[in-house]
Amino acid sequence: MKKTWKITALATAITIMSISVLGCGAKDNADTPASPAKESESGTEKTETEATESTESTDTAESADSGAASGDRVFTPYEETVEISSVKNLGSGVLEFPEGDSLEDNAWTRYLEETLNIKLNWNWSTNSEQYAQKVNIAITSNDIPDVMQVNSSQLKMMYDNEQIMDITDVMSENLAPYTEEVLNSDGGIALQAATFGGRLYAIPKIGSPLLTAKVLWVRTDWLEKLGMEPPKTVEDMRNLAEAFTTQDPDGNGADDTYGLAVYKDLYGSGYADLTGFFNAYNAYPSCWIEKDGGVVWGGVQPEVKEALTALNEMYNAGQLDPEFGVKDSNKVNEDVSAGRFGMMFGDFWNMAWINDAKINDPTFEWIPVAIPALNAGTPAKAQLSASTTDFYVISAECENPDAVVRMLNLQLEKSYGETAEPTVFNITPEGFGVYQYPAVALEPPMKNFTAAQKVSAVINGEAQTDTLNDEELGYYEMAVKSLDGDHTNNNWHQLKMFGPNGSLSVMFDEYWTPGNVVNDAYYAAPTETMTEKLPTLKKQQLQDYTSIILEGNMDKFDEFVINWNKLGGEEITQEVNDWYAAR
Amino acid sequence: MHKKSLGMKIFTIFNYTFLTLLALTCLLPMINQLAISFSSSSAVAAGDVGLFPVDFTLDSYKYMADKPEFWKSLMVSLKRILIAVPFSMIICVLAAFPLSRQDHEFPARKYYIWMFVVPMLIGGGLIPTYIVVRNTGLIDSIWALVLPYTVNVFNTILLMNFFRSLPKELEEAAYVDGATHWQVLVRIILPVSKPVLATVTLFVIVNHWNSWFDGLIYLNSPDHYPLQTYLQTQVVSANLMALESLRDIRQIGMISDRTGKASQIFLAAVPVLMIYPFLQKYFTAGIVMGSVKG
Amino acid sequence: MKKSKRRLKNWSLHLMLLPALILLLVYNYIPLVGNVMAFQKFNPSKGFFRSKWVGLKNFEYVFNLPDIYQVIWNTFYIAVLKIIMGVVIPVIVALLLNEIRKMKFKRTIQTMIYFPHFLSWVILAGVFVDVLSPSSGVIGKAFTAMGLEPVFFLGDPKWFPYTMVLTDTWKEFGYGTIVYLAALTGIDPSLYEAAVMDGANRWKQTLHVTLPGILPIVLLMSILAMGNIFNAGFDQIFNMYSPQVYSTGDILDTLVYRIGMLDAQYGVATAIGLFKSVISFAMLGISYALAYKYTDYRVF
Repeated sequence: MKKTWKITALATAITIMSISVLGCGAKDNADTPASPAKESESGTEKTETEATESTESTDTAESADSGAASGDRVFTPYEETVEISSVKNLGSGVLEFPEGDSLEDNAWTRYLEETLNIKLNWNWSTNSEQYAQKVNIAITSNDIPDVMQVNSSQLKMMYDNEQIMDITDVMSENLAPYTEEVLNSDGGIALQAATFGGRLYAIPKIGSPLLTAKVLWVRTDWLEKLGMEPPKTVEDMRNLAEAFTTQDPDGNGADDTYGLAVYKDLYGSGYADLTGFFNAYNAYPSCWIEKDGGVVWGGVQPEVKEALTALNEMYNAGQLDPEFGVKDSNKVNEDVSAGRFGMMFGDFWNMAWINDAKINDPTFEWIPVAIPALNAGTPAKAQLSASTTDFYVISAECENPDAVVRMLNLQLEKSYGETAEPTVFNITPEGFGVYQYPAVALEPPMKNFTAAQKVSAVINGEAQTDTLNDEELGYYEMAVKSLDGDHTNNNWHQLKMFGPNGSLSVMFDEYWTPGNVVNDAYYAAPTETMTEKLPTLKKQQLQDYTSIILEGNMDKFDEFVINWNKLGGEEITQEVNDWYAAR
Repeated sequence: MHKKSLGMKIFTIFNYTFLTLLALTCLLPMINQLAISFSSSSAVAAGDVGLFPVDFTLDSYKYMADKPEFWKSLMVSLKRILIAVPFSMIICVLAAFPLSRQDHEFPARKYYIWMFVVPMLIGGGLIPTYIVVRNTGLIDSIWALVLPYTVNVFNTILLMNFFRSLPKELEEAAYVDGATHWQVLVRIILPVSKPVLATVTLFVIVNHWNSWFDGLIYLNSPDHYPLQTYLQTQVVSANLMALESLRDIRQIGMISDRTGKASQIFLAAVPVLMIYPFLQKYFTAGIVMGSVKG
Repeated sequence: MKKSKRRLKNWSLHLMLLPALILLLVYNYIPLVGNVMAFQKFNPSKGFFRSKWVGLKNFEYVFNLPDIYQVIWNTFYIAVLKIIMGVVIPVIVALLLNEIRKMKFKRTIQTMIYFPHFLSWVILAGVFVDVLSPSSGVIGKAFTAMGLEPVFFLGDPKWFPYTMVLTDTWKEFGYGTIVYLAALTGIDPSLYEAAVMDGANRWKQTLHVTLPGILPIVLLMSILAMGNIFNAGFDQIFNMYSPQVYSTGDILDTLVYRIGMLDAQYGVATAIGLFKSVISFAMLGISYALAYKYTDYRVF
């Protein structure tokens, strides 16, 4: 499968090259054989319009000052207005617009109409909490807009239902080089996840797998009080957990502190998430890992048993909240804010949830460190999950799929490309997040890490603020305010992410650069048995892990492994290995 | 009855104490939310707020007053109720009257009644209902929140039982005088049915006020959401959010704004709580006679 | 003669029913067609009539899930307890309230116990985790003070179902109480007077006059509740359960949520829904028949 994609990619590259080098005539030739039979009826008509566009494109290409190959036809307007319908995920809060603007009429929609003559129509919009639900309804009632953002199981379902278009050819004909570069920046893994039977069915909303790595957050005001150092090894971490529990780090005379924050579902939320703890023991409980030339489920490996043994010891020693088993991550967050915990594993953004506590008590201070090593000298490897969880699909009934691809080209180019205008299309000087307005939007996956490095360099006095773009400047300004003691408006949280030794720098320097990462070895759409049995298996795993931590009955783990295989795990492993071998 | 025995006195004291305590346990979480809504967000984050506000502030209410979405959705909810209540009442009363006739007067009644009972037990499910609402052209209209819920079977049964419990003499006399069914309903039945009408009105209001899921699926934009749907988008737990927005660092700034949530929860409950005492006095008779056949 | 004249005018009765029937037909009966999804591998682009028929495969799938019988039992157990408590507690509280002579007090209490109804489970779950905490919660502290081992209500599989029943009863008993209280007020005072004449004390009056007086409405409420025999309360349990109480706390709806809703397997979800409807239908029918047989009381 991967091979096929490579060929397609190669074809794309050749197509684009031939367009830019040879101009329109050659393009038509390259075009025709690639057209799928399905579209042949509209073929003639299409070629005509494209021919006109191409003629025009030569004019614009000459006048375009970028001079690069990207000034080709994919950035030229359609003859007649093309209407594209879509739906909008408004994000977590309310989407805000500059005075007079709206979702229907804003910088992006106007620019789209101007440059490409594409008019965007929104069928509906809702907040992220409800978005998946509305998409499910749209899919099941067959109310599909031209382009829609979906998650991986929805993608699989729509593919099975034949509701979405094979976009292999549309993509190869219309992709701008920069868009292609971004889409392939993870080595084609994300595109692979959107490929069925060798054909591409969706545009992956590519993300950086590195962002899913966990760090260990440690309370430094407690460290100082006890005269201890941030942990480097598992042993350090265990000692620290004990000290935080028994030595009254908050100095209130009461035995009310715990070493490590844990929540009821153990891992997956990204906050007080034990994934990092397991990783420290070389265990990877929620992903497929490569082992002995094949692929195995990390959750049933013997290393997990060691991590669970450790957790049970910590539980018995009172280093975990005895009631963690009923607390969800919001509840744990209340306890962390109230100063009950000294360490927690989690995502790079965790300080966002306790920024209020920092405002309340400025001495409250945390730092992120890399996952501690089991043996000093052998750094732990961080588990990376499939980072691409969302996809843009084009309806099987969409009349202008090429327009969707061109919208995407334009979005990437004007936001992050050479001709980018971040103050117009990313964040306005007044703080409006224009980047949230388009129907299809990607971003270069590693840009947050680049931003962290640049911001840190300026704070450390190694560079000037003029090296920062507007977005980075925003982070820099917030971080500096926090350094000056103003922690409000999430300033402190930004400092903890983008600042020197912030979470993003830790992840980049300690995991990415030295290659201390473990990728999820399975990244295709879920298999038949997975959809059917994985929820049950996951439930079983959680239930048994929890009871092992609480009761310390280690035989139960071996029992769990046997059960796991019996309840469908073996079957799924077989399917995954078949996929792995055929890759 | 006149002279209270000792046992009776002890019982009375126990009774008052017990009921007071019981009522207090019911009130505490609400008071806690109210206290949270009047406290500073940092005090709330630190878990300092119990039954009294800490660092008293009106910030969250001021914030709410400035929030156009909140007021917009409040207006949608009011509009919904103003449309739904009369509509629903008229149709349910019209249905309950024939159903309250005696079997021998209106033989078709026993078939009709089952047509009303069946939907109470078996539903078509979300998607088929959605498709029907879409095909009847109601998507993104306030009628999508009204029409599918107009015939409430439970309320109709309540009305029907109430009508059946009324003394027969008056209507018999009217029929003898040559009155039509319409005249009997409007002139004889309705004037004495205030209790049940008030009760059912309250039920309809509460149902419409509290339902949120329909708003979410039938309306196309948060601008059109009724209050509870809007609140649901604001108040639900931030758990899954973390994963979803992981990609987009700029969105992670969202914190569980608990003071804001608490004030919204409180504000949303107020209107119904205010209506309740007014209708309470009719409640008794409405329910009694609605469920007990005379 | 009178009868036939009345019969003639019955067309107006049909007419009155018409608007309600049309709405029922459109928004309740037509969607029933959707239940065919339970027997299909539903494909939206093909619709209800051209999707592939799979017979009972969705049901087989559901009943082959490991733990399914445990889950059905949990659902049934929690739901039945909730139905029982949902009748018993409000009746008791109504009886107690009925003894109160101070109207203002009575009315205030009535309004207060109706309050929790307005708080969502999302909010209450957070509150209960605090209140029921064995170490720091009010109730845990009370247990310790009395020298008892505090109970981990939300974390102990033995206790979890009862915690669900109690907290749900707490949230909803206010409504039931109002209903029963209303019924109590409606009892004919002459019946009490007669009982007093016969020398009945308060307790005897309650037993022989009050309880029979509210029996019809108790029956009505119970029969209607039978329709909920498999609704153990998704919102509540979903917000309060955790892996450590899955063995007694996982119910059909949470299972469907994990399997069906997240992946939108509507065939499976519909199959479970249909299964629940059939059982509820049967239970309702049986209780209706029993009530009619033994008390001669007809709800409909």
